[in-house]
Amino acid sequence: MSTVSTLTHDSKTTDKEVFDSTIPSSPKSLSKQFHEFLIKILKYGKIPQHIGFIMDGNRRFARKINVQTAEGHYRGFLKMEEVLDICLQLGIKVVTVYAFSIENFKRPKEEVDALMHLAKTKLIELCQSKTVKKYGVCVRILGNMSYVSQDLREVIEEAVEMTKNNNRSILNVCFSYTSRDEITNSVKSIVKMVENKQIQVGDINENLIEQCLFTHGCPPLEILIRTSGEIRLSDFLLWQCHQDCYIHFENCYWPEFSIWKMLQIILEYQLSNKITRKKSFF
Amino acid sequence: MVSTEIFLFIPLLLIGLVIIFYRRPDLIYNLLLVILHFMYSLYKLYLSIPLLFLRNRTPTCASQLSGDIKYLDKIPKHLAVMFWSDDIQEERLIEAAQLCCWAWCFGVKTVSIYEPEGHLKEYIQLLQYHINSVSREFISLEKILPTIQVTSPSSISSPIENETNQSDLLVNLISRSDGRARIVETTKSLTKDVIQEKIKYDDVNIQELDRRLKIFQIPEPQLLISFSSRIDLDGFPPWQIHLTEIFHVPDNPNFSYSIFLQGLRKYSKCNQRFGK
Repeated sequence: MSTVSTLTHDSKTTDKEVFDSTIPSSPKSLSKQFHEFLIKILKYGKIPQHIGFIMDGNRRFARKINVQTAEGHYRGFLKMEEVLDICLQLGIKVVTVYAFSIENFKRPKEEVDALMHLAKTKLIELCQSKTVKKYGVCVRILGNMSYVSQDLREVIEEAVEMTKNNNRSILNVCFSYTSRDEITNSVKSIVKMVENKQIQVGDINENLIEQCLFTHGCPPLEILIRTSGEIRLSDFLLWQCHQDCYIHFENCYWPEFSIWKMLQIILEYQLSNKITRKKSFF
Repeated sequence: MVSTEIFLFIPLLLIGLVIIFYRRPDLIYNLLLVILHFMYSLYKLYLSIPLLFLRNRTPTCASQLSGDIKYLDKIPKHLAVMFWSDDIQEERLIEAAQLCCWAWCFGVKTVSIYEPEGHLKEYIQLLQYHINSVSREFISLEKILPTIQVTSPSSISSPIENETNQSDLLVNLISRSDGRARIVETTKSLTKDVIQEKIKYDDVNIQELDRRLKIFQIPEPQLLISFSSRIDLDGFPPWQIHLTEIFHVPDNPNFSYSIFLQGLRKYSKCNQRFGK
């Protein structure tokens, strides 16, 4: 038992080292084993099917440690991979992350360009990464592609094509996305369906709108985490999170988010779930 | 005699446990999970100890608030609160009336009270009565009493509309049915209009949808205060909360003036960048 876990663990660290050679990584073998042990325990409780992240605070993190903004975004990307791995280890089926909002196009041109460049280079890398292969992750890009440049759109299509046959778990990357845009898009597609006489006006209901959202086919969102201490949703998954979803605001920048915080949130979720279940009994 | 029995019993018990756990390792993990949950609950209990000693002061007259108002740089025009109880009692309605008076003193123009099942809407008259009586006591020093009017979105499309502009504070009672159901209604009316060519398909956009949803008189709140220990929006109208600051105090599930004030302070300090 123990030899197996150390073996998998070893292969993981070497993989990580190859992947992010710029960041000094220390071989925390013991703590990593402990994390895996904790995850194994937590898996015996209720695990959410779908979890969402608003990855906020990369720029402020960069300012805090005195590095370029682009470096902050890069660290954010690495953190996303790490958190994705933890989520999949926990057995979470769908992870949705807020990478870039339509509103973010208002940012200074250099920053937007840097982010687009990061997306172009890292998206393919992400689809080829060990995590994606190991857990059979289908990577999807959700958003309004009409705002995205042609060459990036091609990269996105290529990336989606690469993983489209994976069916064990899903990573939704919300890119050029806002929830209001998503709902409007859903409403528009329903209007189109009625126009084409596929359905009638009387058939329109909540379920239909939900099925026309970008997240159709995903289980309901159960946890939404926002980092950086801001306490708003910033137009992310409004329809999905306003019912039966535990919303958590974490007071740290996204690159500082850690497995400890993640596990604590899962614990909190499991406990509060227990309480509500008791309530419904009596 | 007794001691020898115990000496026999303990090793037997241990051996039994070892055998059980060897055959069923999942039991150990389940046990560990229970222990983990228990320890975390204890930790949370420990964290909530200081809250017990927090003195909750409830202001009884408007002049007591002036000290708190001074330090706020900005005030939300529209404040939403999650109703803090599952069932509606007289006491809760009086608390709601107090909250409305505080909000008026701070300069809030609209207060929305969200109660998922819509039971609160049935008490619209009683709430109005309590607000009238509480505000008379609370704002006794002012020369002219403010008009605080209670409405709910379903009743508003009637002729009252003109009157609403005159009231100093509008109290809006909303429920789950003002959320997704309104979006469905809007989609239906929009679809009809597109078919009847009142509006072109290409003109359907966020602004158009927003304009149509505004007819239901549920404005976007700038601040949403939840008096429960964890945030669960419980069906709060989704379209309207896209930029709302959502405030709650972990581990403090009670209605109090101090949470109300903390929420306003947090809002006053927050800085919205609108994507930039």
